Amino acid sequence: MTGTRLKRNIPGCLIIAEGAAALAASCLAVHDTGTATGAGFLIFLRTGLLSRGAWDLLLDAMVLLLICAVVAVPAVLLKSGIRNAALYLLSGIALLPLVRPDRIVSPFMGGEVMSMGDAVSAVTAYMPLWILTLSLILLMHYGPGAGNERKTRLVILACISAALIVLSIILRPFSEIILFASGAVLLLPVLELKAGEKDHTVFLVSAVLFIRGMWRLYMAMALYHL
Amino acid sequence: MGKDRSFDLKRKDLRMITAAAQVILLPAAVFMLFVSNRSVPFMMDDIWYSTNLETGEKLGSLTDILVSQKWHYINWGGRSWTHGFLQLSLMSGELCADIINTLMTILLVLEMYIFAGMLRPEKAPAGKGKGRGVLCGGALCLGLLITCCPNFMMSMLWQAGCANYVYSSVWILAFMMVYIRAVDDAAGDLPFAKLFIVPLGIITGWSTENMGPASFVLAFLVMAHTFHKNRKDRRLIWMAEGAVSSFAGSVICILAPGNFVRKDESLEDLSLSLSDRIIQMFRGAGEYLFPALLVLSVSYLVYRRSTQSGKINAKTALVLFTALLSYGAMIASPHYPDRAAFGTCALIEICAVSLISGAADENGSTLKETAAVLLLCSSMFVMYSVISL
Repeated sequence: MTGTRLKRNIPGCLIIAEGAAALAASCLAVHDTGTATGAGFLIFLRTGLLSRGAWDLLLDAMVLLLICAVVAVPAVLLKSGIRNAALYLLSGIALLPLVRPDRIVSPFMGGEVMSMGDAVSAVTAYMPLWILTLSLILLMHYGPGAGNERKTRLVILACISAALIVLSIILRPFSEIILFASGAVLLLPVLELKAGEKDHTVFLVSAVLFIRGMWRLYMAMALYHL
Repeated sequence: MGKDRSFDLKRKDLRMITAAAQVILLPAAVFMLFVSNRSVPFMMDDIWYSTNLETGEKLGSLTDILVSQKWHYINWGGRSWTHGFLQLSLMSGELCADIINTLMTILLVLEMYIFAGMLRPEKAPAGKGKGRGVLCGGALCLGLLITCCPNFMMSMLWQAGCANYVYSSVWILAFMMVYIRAVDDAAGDLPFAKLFIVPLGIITGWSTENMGPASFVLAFLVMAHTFHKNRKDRRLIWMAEGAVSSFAGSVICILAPGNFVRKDESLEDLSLSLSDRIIQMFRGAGEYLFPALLVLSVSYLVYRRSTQSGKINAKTALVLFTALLSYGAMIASPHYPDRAAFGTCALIEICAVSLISGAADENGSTLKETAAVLLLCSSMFVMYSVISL
């Protein structure tokens, strides 16, 4: 009995392990990207407080807290469980526009603002991935058990996400952050994915997301590692 | 009863809306594909291939192409068929080449649709709605082909890329379809199979270094399966002919003297270490094949949930194995450009379309239609990004 239960839980445990590995790799990527782009240095220059190293570490901690919050808060609110939270994290790393730490700091420090043309180009470039994500979310939530209420919720989330994309063109200092938020909202239904007996298919999806996510983080580290 | 009727009406309405959207979007997408082709001029390798490679003069006749391909085979590389077609298209001029590219892409999409239909365990009910099925299937395949293409511009629009990947995929898929069809015992012999399978096998094997051998393995496996079931099956004759000819084509392509000349003359260090090769393959899975793999895995998830057994059939497994082989073959290559993943992506997408169609048929939903419309929109954004460059 216990053996069968354990066997049934293996895919879920593997997804959680993938999520943990991706989170660990994110820590390294955030640190490398943050220090290489001089996000901490920018704060140090503007405030004159502490040292560059201290700001770098504080920034790392802040970005990682943000990542955890983006995953944990909706997961707790939707009571989705650890497996789905890990899947949401993996989806995010694989599919969302990755925002450099200096881009988070820059709008608050009076940094350069993206031009209208650049913001529109960023949205145009992001659209195929956004639509692909939307298609996949629709497919994932499709099934005999999918009720009208869930379908309505999917439509509402897609509309909010689309509105955020438009907002990213208007509020250009926060353009990248808003695009990230738009993707995060679109991916929220991942947290509601039902765990069934055929759980290993979800593991297959997570494995593809994991490979993609690790590749993206590896590339970020390869590019920014000092 | 009344509740059921209102639900049916809603589904019917959605089906009508998606069908109308496809009728508008599909021709628009094809038109955009042509415009995208127009926006990418002959460039880079195209300029070189526009000349007689031996003399350096501008191409003027079929003899020039034959002479060029002989020189190319000895001095540069083994893809004589694809480069021969490339030179033919280059000789016809930019407008004509763009029309050919668009037509070949449409042909490839139709093949993908038919191929996906072959993989399904049970055929969709014939007759009513068949035209709509073709429209939807075509839209889904086109949307996927462009959205999940690892490098749309260099694989499908650049003339050399289009000839190497789109054109060659047309005959590679045709070859594979002949064998996949033969897995069904009920499917009879194709007319003239004995005649066309040999040239088709040679041209398939002699296409690209990864897809050619992978096609041979698929042919061999189907032949072994047929032999195992019935040693006296008459189809074994043409199956063997096709397998041998594709193997011969692959050998001719890979062992071309030009491949070795080019390797010796290359200034780049092509001797990759094991870790470099692993990273190269990691990049292949994590970047080039990622959208197609994600669509496939999610399609499988939907298929498992929608069907009773949830198991994929032998034909789909065979095609996926071929895709895996074509990907795995790249570990032997000193360089794995994103373009080279085109054929593998096409095979993965065919399986995904088959699974989505299977799931949608099972419970008569509008899932396939909705996905087709969304993917068409997505492909239009991809094309727009090239046109606006």
